[in-house]
Amino acid sequence: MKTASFAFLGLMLCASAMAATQPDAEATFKAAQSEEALAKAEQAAWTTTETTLADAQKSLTAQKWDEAKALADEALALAKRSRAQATEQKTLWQDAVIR
Amino acid sequence: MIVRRLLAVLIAGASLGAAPAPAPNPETDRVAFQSYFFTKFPNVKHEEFGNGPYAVNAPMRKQWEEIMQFPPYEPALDEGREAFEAPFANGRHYSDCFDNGGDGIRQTYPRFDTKTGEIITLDGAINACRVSNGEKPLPLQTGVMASITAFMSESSRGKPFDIKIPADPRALAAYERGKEFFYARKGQLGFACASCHVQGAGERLRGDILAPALGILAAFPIYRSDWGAMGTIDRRFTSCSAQTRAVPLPAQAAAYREVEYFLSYMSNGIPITGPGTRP
Repeated sequence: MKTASFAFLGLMLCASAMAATQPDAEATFKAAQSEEALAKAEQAAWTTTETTLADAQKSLTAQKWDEAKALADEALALAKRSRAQATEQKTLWQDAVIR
Repeated sequence: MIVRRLLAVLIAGASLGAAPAPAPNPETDRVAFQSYFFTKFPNVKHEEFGNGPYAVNAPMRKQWEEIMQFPPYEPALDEGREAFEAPFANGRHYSDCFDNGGDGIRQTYPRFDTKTGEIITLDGAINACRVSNGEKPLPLQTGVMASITAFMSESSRGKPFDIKIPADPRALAAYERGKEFFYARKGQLGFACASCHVQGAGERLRGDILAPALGILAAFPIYRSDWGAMGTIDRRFTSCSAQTRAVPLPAQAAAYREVEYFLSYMSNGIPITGPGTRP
């Protein structure tokens, strides 16, 4: 009985630690927006980042913080990857040139 | 001391052995580019490369020959002639803006403008002509712009691409940026223009036969069945970008004009076939 109570308490604590708060979700969304703005300025943006950001915005509006945070995290990762691709390709493109 | 000498020897050796980056040479690039396609498609006549997938795939060519009994771009040709010949509000005409009255000049575009240091495409020149005569620029992807370029392209049919890169470092830099755009991978799918139109040329990608990059712009503007309408080079570039899941650039963005410059220069000698039709 004692063990079961501790397990239940542990689960409750984990769940509350994992739930995203409004500030978390909004901060991640802003970070993703900034990264995507940089990707656009470098002409390196991906359409998938744009749609994921738009979905995150919808979840923020609907106050679904967990979903908004997850989508903003994904958009941030996509924006970072698109910029990394552009950086890599600044030199790698030369390997593909017909000579 | 010994270590320092050893390092000096190693550094000297490395600098001697390091090959300097080759200076950009568009003509060397063009010869290599064309040889690649002539070798890849030994049975295709060189002048046929302007016909895109129909040059390299026999069943598609047969269908195309039947479609060409009643070319779907013909209404655009009529609209383009009418628009081209109509005077602007100030009484001047498109023909006043172009060499030879705009007749048979498509093969010389894009051009490098020494005044602005920019690449000028035919579509850009048409809009510049309008603006200089007090008219609003036309939308760039379809409609009247596609019709006027269709009319102008038809007057160049059979004339080989004749793109110049003047001895101006800005022109060479624009050419090099266009080359980089063509070969650099983009979008979430990581495709370069070259992925489909060099490595994949003649292969099937889902339902499409991929056109070789050599001569690929010779047929523009095109009536594309997929669009159910005419489209300009800008329309094709923006849809290609989106297909790789890259955010398309605005029509006539510098990067699109520069890749058009690069691709057109690579096709020097290949005859204009536009306006064209594609699946």
